[in-house]
Amino acid sequence: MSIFVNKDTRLLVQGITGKEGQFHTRQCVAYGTRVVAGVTPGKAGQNMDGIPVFNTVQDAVKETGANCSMIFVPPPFAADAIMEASDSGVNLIVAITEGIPVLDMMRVKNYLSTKACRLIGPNCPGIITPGECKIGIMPGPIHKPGGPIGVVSRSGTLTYEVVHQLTLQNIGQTTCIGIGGDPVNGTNFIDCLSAFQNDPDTQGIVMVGEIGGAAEEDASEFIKNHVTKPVVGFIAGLTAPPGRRMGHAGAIISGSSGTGQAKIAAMKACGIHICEDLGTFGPLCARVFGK
Amino acid sequence: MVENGFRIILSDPNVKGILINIFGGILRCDILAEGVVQAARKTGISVPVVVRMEGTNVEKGRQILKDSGLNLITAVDLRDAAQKVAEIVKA
Repeated sequence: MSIFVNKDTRLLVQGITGKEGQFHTRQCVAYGTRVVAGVTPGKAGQNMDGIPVFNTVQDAVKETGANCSMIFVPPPFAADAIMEASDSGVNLIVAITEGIPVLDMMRVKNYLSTKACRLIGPNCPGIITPGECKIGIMPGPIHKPGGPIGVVSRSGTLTYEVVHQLTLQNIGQTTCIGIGGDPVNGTNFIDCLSAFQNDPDTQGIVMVGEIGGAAEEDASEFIKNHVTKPVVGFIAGLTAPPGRRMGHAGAIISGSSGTGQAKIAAMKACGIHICEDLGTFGPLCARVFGK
Repeated sequence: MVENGFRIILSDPNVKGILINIFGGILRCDILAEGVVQAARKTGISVPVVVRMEGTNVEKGRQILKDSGLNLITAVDLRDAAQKVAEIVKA
């Protein structure tokens, strides 16, 4: 079992003919993802490695039965691409694009509030169910199929780091999700925690947060009240000075809120096992998850 | 990109070593390695550089660093990288 994506997921790629779109589509195909269509306006009738390209998401869904879209469209057009996907009948949209204006995302978020589909990202590495389906830019070989750990993270590189360390400890993953580093995004920590709690094959959860906002505090409260599985957490950016944006648009300490120390305190108070030293993440997980 | 990074870091005379830690996803390790090699040649780095690389195209990246003949210190993981650079700086 897994959450959100599996071997039956039929993927289409918006922006499949661009440089990054092409490279990462090929990586997804090589991993075993069923990529059934691509979309680039004006390029209908062409193909990319035999994958048919369509002008619109609607055409692609109608012809190929795609149920998930991965977006590599450049920032100025990405909001429109997400909204188009949400109107076409796919039930999951994974937006990789970094640099979508916040105001655009507020429009998108409002638009999606009346739709049945889920958005992951933007500015995220994507989602992978190891051994079944990779949708995004994460390196496939570092993952270990079969569970029992679910991973959710605001950071791409840190997701890879913790997954790699889990795999080195011979601890597999059910599904790994990067929810993205922007201040306005789709799926949040709580959505993922709730799904992992309900997934019978997920027996423990790894949650990687960072400075800025209150997502980790909200998630901690949710864990205390609704999650019975053990959770290991890490917070990036403990040495960040207030007011400086640390790589991600959403990673900024404003006034006294959003500090790493406050997040760690909140997480500890709700029973989350905190990793203080990223270099020892794997061994800590081995102890907590009882392997 | 890497070149500018080196230049900014090295403009601080207090810097005694550089640690590069990349777990490549969208940034491919081979592209990073080429950047490091070019930057090292152009800026003539005066301090030790420890490189830890994992992720997309990591084998290609490691080969590029090896073939460059540059005096780069490679590390196997995050902990190893941090220890190596700390030892160098203390020495």
